[in-house]
Parts: sequence; structure tokens; C-alpha cells
Amino acid sequence: MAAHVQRLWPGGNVDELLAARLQMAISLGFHIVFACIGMVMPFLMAAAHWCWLKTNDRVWLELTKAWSRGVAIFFAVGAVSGTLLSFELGLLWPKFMEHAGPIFGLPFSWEGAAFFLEAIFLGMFLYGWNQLPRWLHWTTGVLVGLSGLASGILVVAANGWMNAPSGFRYENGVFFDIDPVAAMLNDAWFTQALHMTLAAFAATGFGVAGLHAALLLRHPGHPLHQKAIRVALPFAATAALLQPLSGDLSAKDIAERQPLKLAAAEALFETTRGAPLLIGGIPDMELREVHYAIELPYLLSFLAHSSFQAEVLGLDAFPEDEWPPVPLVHYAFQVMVGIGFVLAGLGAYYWYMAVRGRPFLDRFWFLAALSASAPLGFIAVEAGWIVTEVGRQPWIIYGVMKTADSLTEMPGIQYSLAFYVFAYLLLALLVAWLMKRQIAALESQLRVYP
Amino acid sequence: MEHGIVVFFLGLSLILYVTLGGADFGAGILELTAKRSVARRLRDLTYHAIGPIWEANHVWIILVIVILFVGFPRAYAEISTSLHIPLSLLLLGIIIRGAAFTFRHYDAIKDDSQHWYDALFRGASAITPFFLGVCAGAVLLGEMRTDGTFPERFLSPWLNPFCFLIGAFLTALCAMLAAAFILGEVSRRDIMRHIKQRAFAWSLATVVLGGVVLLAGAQPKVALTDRFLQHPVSLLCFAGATVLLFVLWWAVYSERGVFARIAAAGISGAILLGWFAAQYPVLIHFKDGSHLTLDNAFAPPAAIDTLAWTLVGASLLIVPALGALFWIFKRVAHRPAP
Repeated sequence: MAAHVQRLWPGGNVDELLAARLQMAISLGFHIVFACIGMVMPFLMAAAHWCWLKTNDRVWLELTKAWSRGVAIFFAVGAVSGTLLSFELGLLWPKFMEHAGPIFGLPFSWEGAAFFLEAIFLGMFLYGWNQLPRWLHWTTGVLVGLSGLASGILVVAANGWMNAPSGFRYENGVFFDIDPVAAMLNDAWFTQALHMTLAAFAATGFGVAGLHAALLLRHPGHPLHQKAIRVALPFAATAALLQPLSGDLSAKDIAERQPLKLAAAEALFETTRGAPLLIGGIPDMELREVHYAIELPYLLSFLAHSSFQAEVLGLDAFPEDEWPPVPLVHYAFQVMVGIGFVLAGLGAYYWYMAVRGRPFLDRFWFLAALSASAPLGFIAVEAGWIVTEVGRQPWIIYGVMKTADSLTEMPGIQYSLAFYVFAYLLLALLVAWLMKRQIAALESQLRVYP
Repeated sequence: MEHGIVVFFLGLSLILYVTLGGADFGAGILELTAKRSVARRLRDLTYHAIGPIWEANHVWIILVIVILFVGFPRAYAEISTSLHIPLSLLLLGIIIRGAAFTFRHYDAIKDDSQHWYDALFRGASAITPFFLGVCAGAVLLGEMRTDGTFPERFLSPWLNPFCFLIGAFLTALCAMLAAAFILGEVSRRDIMRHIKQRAFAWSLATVVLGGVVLLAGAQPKVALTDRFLQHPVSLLCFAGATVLLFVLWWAVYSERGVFARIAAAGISGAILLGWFAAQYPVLIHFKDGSHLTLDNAFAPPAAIDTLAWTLVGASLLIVPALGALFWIFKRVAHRPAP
């Protein structure tokens, strides 16, 4: 990695750039978990709440309240880590923000507004028990989810602009004729936002279903956990089944717009007609080939350009100093796609059983598979962002501005990195500990049920 | 016109962050400086007073940041480069405080870990407004520069008595705001005595530190005081804050919660507005005497126009929602406080 950066930035301080990129990656990687949960959990909560209002079965109420405590914790941590990011963009990449801020700031401003509404509605929901009319209270919960969804889509639109810059002209280092609306509606926003939204639903849905499946294995037949899985799985399974279609859209889009990113993700060193799809494999940067990969002939050409004989541009079509770190992008891509298919398989099984009205919550293997799948969606989300963000390197604005050229002049980013790693590690441990205690409290409280 | 709208929202967001977010920080400072038995009571009151709106109160700083980087990108870049260190400390405070506030309420098991959350919450509540003040001091002091050695560029703009003084002033102001905001929630006599005493003490500290700021700001290279005393709006704000101070003292003495809140919020708003007027249109004073101003640090017109109409459009959504939140919970929160 260091050698890679050195090649891109001769004369620069490699450690500073690497530290800054790592700090940004860790901050985003941390925030995104909380953002996904904060975006999807309110919908699960509202579904359970709806069942409580319709059936008057107290288990639904317990479930809604237990989930709402989780929402509060995840929202708070997501809010502080998001606040941090708005500062960090400037702390690490001031020259990027100085030029890009006015151009891609429009989705950010609307995201701020959506986040504000989310905080307001969350306040109303959490403190609205026995204060607001029942259905109005329920509506505030749905509005939390809708504003969270909007804010997620808007932030991804801003990121899409970094991949598909539009809405300005750029000559001799000067940006002019800027059009913030065109920048927001860049070519990447839709495919990225769709893929991210489905990923959030799949990751959170399987995370929640998996957690309750593990608890159900400990307390067989427990109504609260059964109900929790019944609410979470339809969301998770539907998203996981749609995700391969969205992934196909994304791949075709990237093949057109950022062929280099696709070449890195597939570790395709040579431009090829009838290119095979590689599964797994270890890219060898010296020999420029991939070892131990399973090759599915012609499939990459078909997936990228809808024709088995189509030419797919390889890494050799681009100057080497513009290559992203190929092995990292390739491995991340494999992990994301692999997990995507595992979750889609689980989702398909669920819908098959549910549609035929067969019981599935008493099958040990299914519950065990669900609990094992709990972290998978989040791992796929992280891997997917590595493909998007590392795959865009060495550019911060694709084709326009290099990441190295936007780095802050503030020296000693390594210390800043250490400081942030410590803070995030502490927060992550605290949240994990807190969730463990939530579950312990829930379990002791639930002994009242049979 | 769009220019004016953006400047208006920048100022408004900063005032609301210092006033509403500041009162939240102040609540932690009040706990930090109270005896253990009193602090426990204050903690319940804090929660009662700010619980539903605490997230919303802290979104204002995000608005400030977004308006800066969309509307005044050079100012945002200069501030986040030169003030990297105090901004990082400010962020540390924001993270710890936000997380600890939620943890201490939502931890399902209430045991010794609460002491840790309390300690984190209180400590972070004190450092956040302090470093916010330090950054504000650096922007107006005129030690910022775009070149130079590490200490010249990244330390001396903020690591100096003047900026620390502004930090202390803002910290005292936040504690005063919190005492005034909480007053209306108190029902127990002993806690009421404590809060009244703290409201007087912190408002005095604010006045004294404010006076020292004006003295320190009189030195020629800062020239804050001259500008402050020459600008009619600043003078008007100064007079207004003075009158409101007496209103605050009266309201605290006679235990009128609503008036105490209005007076304290008014004082904080007047101080900031007075500062804006004295500083207008300068955003950053540089060491070489040049300035980044609201007129020369501007983003291109297309960005300003969309930002302005976004802010107006978003307000149409946010203001009614926020109004409803305040109205619902200030109305129903008048159950007897613990």
C-alpha cells in the first residue's frame, strides 16, 4: 500500500496521506453501520408498533419499546459520528472542500435538513408514549424512518458526484459555470443510492433477524423473538433478493463510466473480448495475473456490456499511476458479491417457506444460519464502500482532482489517526457492551412470558 | 438577496447553537460543579428539561458547517486547516458528550457504570464550549496565516491567552444559560436554592469575563472593543444585554422560569449579534492584515442561490416541526419533576 501511494505521489509524505486516507476510511466505515441501522430500524419499529396498535398483544409493545431503545442509542452515536464527518472533510481535505463545497453542497444542505427532521421526529416518538394520540405517535415513528432514508440517499448523491463529477467546467485548475442541481443529479447518484438503500435494509434486517434468531435458539418458542424475526425477515429478504439486480445496474454503469474501477474489482489486467468472470483468486501485481481464481467464461463481458463477445477494458488500458490498489479492491468486491449471494439465498428460502405457509422458525439449521448471517450484511456494506472509495483512488474527484493534492497542510496526521482510532474503538466497545446489557435486561424481563 | 439569506441563516444557526446547544453543555457544567448529592438531582432535571430536544439542539452546528463549506468555502478551508487542533478537541467533546448523554439514560442496567457516563458527560460538557470559544477567538484575533512554521501556523493562532479567555467566557455563558433554563423545572426547595445561587454566580462570571474580554480586545492589534463600541448595532446589543441581565436577576430571584429563559436566551443572542455586527463583514482576520469577508470569500452565485432557497425551503419544513416538538413537550413536561 505504501509503495502504491509512493508511486502516485512522488516527493510527498506517504505516511501523512496514508494516515489521512485511513482516518477517513475508519470514520466513514464506523458511521455507515450506524447510518444503516438508523435508517432502517425505525421502519422495523413502526411495523411492530403497527401490530401492537392492531392486535393489542402486549408482546408487540415490548418489542417496539425494546427496539426503540436500540434506535435511540444507534441514532445518537450515528449523529455524533456524522457531525464529526462534516468537520473531518475539512480537517483532512480542505482543498477538496474549498473547490467542491459549492458544487456538491446542495445534497449536503438537504441532508442536513433531513437529518434535522429525523432528530425532531425521533424526539417526538421516544417521548411521545402516552402523550400523543396513538396513531399520530405511530406516524412520527414512520417519519423518523422516511427522513433517515432521505438523508441517506442525499449523502450518497454527494458521494456519487465524486465518482461522476458533473455540473461544472474545469480548466487550468479553475472550476467555473457551476450548476449545483446538475451536480446533485450526477450519473452515479441513482445506481449508488439504490444499491446503498437495499444494502441498508438487507444488512439491518438480517442483523436484527439474526440477533433474535440467536436468542430464539436460547429460548425456544419465545413469542417476542419469533415476532421480531417475522417483522425483520420480509424487509431483509426482499432487499437481499433485489440487491443482485441493483448490483447488475451498478456494474453496467461502472463499466461505462469508471471502467478502471471495474477492471480493478475483477482484477482484469488485460483488455479482453469475451472476458471471463473471476470468482476469488489472488492478484499477482508482478506477473499481472490472478492465481487460484474460478473462471466463468464470457460472463464478465455479458454482465458489463450485455454481450458475451463484448470487449471489457482491462487495467492495461490505463496509465499505471492512475490504478487504484488492485488487490484490495478485488478482495473487497469478492467479499461483497459473495455475501450478497448468501443473503439472497437465505431470502429466497424465507419467501419460499412464507408463501407456502410452512413454518420455518422451528428449524434449527435455519435459525443457526440466520444468527450466523447477522454480521454478514454489514461486512458486505463495508466491502462495498471499499470498492467504491478505494476503487476511485487516486482521485478524490474522479478525473479532476487527486486525493494527494487535496490533503491538509497540517502535519502529524498520524497522531490524529491514532486519536480517532482510539475514540472510535472506545465508542464501538461501549455500544457493543450497551447492546449486550440491553439484551440481558430484555431476557430477564421476559421470563414473565412462558 | 440570496447573499443576505445565506448570511442570515449562518448567523441564526450559530446563535441557536450557542443558545440551545450551549444550554445543554451548561447543564453538564452545572453537574460538574455541584456536590455529588445535588448533581444526582440535577441529572434528572437535565434529562427532564432537555430530553426530547437534545438531538435537535445539536444539529445547528452541522448547519453552520454546511453553510460555511457551501457558501464560504475558503473560510471553511482556512479555519479547518489552521484550527485543526482545537477543532479536533471540540469534536472530541461533542462525541463524548453526545454518546454519554444517551448511554446514561438508555443503558438497560443502572449500576456503577453510571458514574463513568456521568464523568464523561460532565467533562465533555465543559471542554466543548471552551474550545468553541477558542476557535471563535482565533477567527477574530488575527493571528491566522496561510504560511509559516508549524507553531506559527497551527499553534499561535489559538494557543494564547486571548482565545482561552473567549473560551472561558463562552463556558460561563453556557452555564448561565443552563441554570436559567432549568429554573422553571425545579420543584424541590433545596435544589431551587442551589440553582438560583448558580444562576447568579455564573451570570456574574459571564459579566466579569465579558468585561475582561472587552479590556483584552482593546489592544490595538485586536481592535475588537473599538469596533464594538463604534457600531450602533453592537452598542444596542450591549445595552439590550445589560437590561436583560437585570431582568434575568429579577426572574431568578422571584423564581419565574419563563422570564429567566427568555432573558438568558436574549443575553446570549445579543452578545453574539453584537459580535457579528462589530466583526461584519469580516469572517477571518489574518496576521498580514488581509481579511476573508462575507463579500470576498463567497462561493459562485449559482451555489449561493441554491443554498439560499434550500435554507428557506428547509425552514418551511423544520420550523413547524421544531415548534411542534417544543410545544408538545414543554406543555406535557409539566408533570412534577423528580
